[in-house]
Amino acid sequence: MAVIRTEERAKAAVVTRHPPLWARIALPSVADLIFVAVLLAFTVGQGASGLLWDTSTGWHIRNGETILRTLTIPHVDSFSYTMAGQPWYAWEWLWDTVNAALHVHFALSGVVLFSALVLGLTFTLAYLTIVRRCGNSLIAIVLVLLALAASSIHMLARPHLVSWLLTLLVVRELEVVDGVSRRSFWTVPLIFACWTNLHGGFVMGLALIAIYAIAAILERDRALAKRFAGLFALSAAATALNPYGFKLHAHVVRFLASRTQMDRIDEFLSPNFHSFGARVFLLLVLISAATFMAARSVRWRDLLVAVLAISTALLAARNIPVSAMLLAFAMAPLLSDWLGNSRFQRVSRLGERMYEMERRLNLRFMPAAVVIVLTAGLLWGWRLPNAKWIPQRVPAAAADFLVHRLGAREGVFAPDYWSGYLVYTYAGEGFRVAVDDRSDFYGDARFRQYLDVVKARPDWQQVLDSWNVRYALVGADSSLRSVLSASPDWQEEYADSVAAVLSRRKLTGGTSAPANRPEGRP
Amino acid sequence: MSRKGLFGFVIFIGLFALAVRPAVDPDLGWHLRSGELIAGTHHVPHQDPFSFTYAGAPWTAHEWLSDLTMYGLWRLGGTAALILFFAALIVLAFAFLYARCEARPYAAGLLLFWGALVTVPSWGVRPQIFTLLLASLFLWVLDRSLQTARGRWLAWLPALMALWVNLHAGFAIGVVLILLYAAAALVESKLYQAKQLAIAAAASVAVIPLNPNGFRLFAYPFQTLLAPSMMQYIQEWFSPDFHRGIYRVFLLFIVFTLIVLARSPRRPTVREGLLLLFGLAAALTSARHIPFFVLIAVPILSRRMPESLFSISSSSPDEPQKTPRAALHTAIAVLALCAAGLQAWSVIRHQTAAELAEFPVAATDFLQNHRGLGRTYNDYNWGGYLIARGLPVFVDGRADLYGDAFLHTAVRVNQARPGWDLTLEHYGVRTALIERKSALATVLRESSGWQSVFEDERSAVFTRRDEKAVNAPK
Repeated sequence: MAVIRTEERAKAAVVTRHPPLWARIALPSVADLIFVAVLLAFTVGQGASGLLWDTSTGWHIRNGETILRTLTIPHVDSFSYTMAGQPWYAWEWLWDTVNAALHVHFALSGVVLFSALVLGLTFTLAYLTIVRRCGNSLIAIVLVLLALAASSIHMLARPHLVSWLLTLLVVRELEVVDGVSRRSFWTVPLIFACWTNLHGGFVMGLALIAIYAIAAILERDRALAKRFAGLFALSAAATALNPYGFKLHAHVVRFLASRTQMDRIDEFLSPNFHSFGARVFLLLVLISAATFMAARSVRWRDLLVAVLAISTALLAARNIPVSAMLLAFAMAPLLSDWLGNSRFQRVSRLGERMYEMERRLNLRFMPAAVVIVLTAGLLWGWRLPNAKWIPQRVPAAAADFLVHRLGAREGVFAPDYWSGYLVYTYAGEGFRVAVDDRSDFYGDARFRQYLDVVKARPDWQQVLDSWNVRYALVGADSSLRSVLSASPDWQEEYADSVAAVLSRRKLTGGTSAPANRPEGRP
Repeated sequence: MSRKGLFGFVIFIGLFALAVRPAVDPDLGWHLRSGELIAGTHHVPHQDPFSFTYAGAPWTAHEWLSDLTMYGLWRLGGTAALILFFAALIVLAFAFLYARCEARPYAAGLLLFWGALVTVPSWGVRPQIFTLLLASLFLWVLDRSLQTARGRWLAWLPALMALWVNLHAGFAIGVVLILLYAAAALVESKLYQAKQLAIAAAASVAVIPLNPNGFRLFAYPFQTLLAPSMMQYIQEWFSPDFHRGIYRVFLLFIVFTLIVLARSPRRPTVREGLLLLFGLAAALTSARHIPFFVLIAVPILSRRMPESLFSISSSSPDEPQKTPRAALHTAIAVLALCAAGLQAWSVIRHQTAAELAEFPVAATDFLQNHRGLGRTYNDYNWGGYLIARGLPVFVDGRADLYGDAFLHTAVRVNQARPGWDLTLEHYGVRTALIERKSALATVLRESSGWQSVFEDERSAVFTRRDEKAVNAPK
């Protein structure tokens, strides 16, 4: 079959002669360059703060600190005042703990560097996996760059990054499952045992094993199907090795099945193909469709992986990064074969020669050097990356006014996308939010109430009453600010270009507007 | 009637029943008014006659022939005529699609019905249906010219284009389709065919200025496709939302197409591949383009469906039927016809209820009874209805007339973003007819400068407090 021929060609590229040591040190491989480029992109300049676009990184850090301090994994909520003490699944506790440990020593810079490292490893691994399958560096470079651009849609310093990396690790392991080796029977469940404590994306990993089993059945390889079925059972069992056991699975399923939340949370919506990242993904979809149509023969395994990738991405935009990498992985050998048999054979041969050369440059000096330099920089206080919350994304001055001038600790309504910042900055002073972006914790009813308020629907006032809200920290350009400003019960205490602070006239009592207003427009 | 004939008949009758839909398109009102204006003045308007915000501003009435047709039908038989006519156009579009299919009737019929189902959200009493029909017709002519190897079929394309360019701005898709066929012929080194298609494309482009707006229509499709506000605010230009049931069916259709084409021993041709990729890109970018993907994919899939899979009995190739069976088939056909007729009757009968559910009927009555309330801000989706009722609007579905900046402003007002009051002041708005649960309604309820003078389940009317007192039910 065409696919097998490509893989054989890749394996046949035998290293005949190693270049001298100086060349192996001085000349980086493509994989090195990808790692270094991604790492630097997210540690130097604006890229570092770009990973902090979403503020939920903040509550992840504070949760990790609680775990480090108490040496127990929380089972109840401590960040909100509306649901304090209610059962909470801190299902990403391991990620939180690692980040908190880094934060203790290196502040946000350490957290961002860790995420940048995960991203660098992910795309390097994507390249190595793809190039190993297709034996053509040019094709692998193009596909990884496209996957990287498509992934820009969801590059944030949050635990989902680890799911990207682990998905690739699982796929690499699944590719070597055969009738002889037993290695994957302990490596894959081990990956799942870690994954289940890092992020809920392990569901995608299980789906991939199921896909491989189904493909083996369709290809009438019963022995292989049995192996994959066994691997699936072991991996599924390994996911129970978390502080909540199988209750976590029920919780994840309940959350993913919630139409209220899936239909309203931005990252779970279908992709908007008018945006940059989604357009790049669309390009990948078109290339893969063309490749599958042009291929002389297609393995069920590759086809089903592509179908899974496309379907999951179309259902939720947040799946685009993993889907882009899986699509690139599935189509690479077919694309390589097509290119090798097309009128562009010279390009194909160039890519194959690049791959052979690259296999000889295997010292991997450059990534190690960059990591050492960055870590040394952190230790000596260079603060590289210089990671900070993005000023236009967080209500820094308004929140400071709210907490320190108005003395608010509870009874504050703020949009969920600011809650991570508020918990990060003020939880140590006893501040607790009304709601935050842990929508799985708050549930459908409270989520709907939250939407009633931010979208200024008729019930907004009842919701704020039921939550005992006395202050509102709202977007400077939000509908809710217009509503509260128009209401006789509320008065605006502070406003700047990012946020406005309003307080309730009836309930505020003595905490009326202060005489000395800080910067901003009252 | 043979079993195969019956199957095809039932499929198309089912399609008709599905295509009969209430006439509640938000733009229907201004299409009818525009048609009335053209019929009355014998001129195609070039300035906006309907809004108070853009009154007299240049307006490209590019769908003038659709407007006139719709108005004529409405004069003839009211909304019932419109509903039945557009349902018939949809069925005709799918009939041309069916004619391009292999594996008829079973596989082709089922694929056609599946494809039709996913295009339902774009159906309705609207000029876009002319584009659906003409795109289908273009594809039929193009396929026919290739099958018969007779270039003279292509001569129909410029003639059809001359009609299309006066009906709907989707005419650009016709040119793209010819060019895709030409590109495929070029890649396959069929130079004579490519030349013929290139000539057909050039001739089709040459007839585009044959419309009341002349050369302006060359740029019109590009202006629409490149307008950020259209893509950002107008729902049918959004990418499909695969959380909705109907688009999940479309997702299954995409997956099925991919699997069939990847695994079928009959490999897709360059032409099929190019068309499919174009259709897929268009459909995923904007839900309103899904019908093009269906028009392209169904015949390609049908060529890869073994008919034997779908035949109920392989030993009966359309043999003459015995009398009892023929009677049964006739009975089923009559039953299907009755069911479709009943469905059409039910839709027409409930048209008023559908309008009540979709439009602010009572609130508009209120405004008409209180003419002195001054300029009225209205919800974007209700502009067409208000125009039909003879009220000047703030904004309506003619997004091309208003442009990006104004649409952005209108959306900000609707969402009650800070500065909403200044915009209303700027345009001299004294009254607002908006959705009862909108953010703007919430703000106006709280605002001391405005008062609610009318509210029902769906809509609310607010006036400025300095207006004369309005006695109205609340």
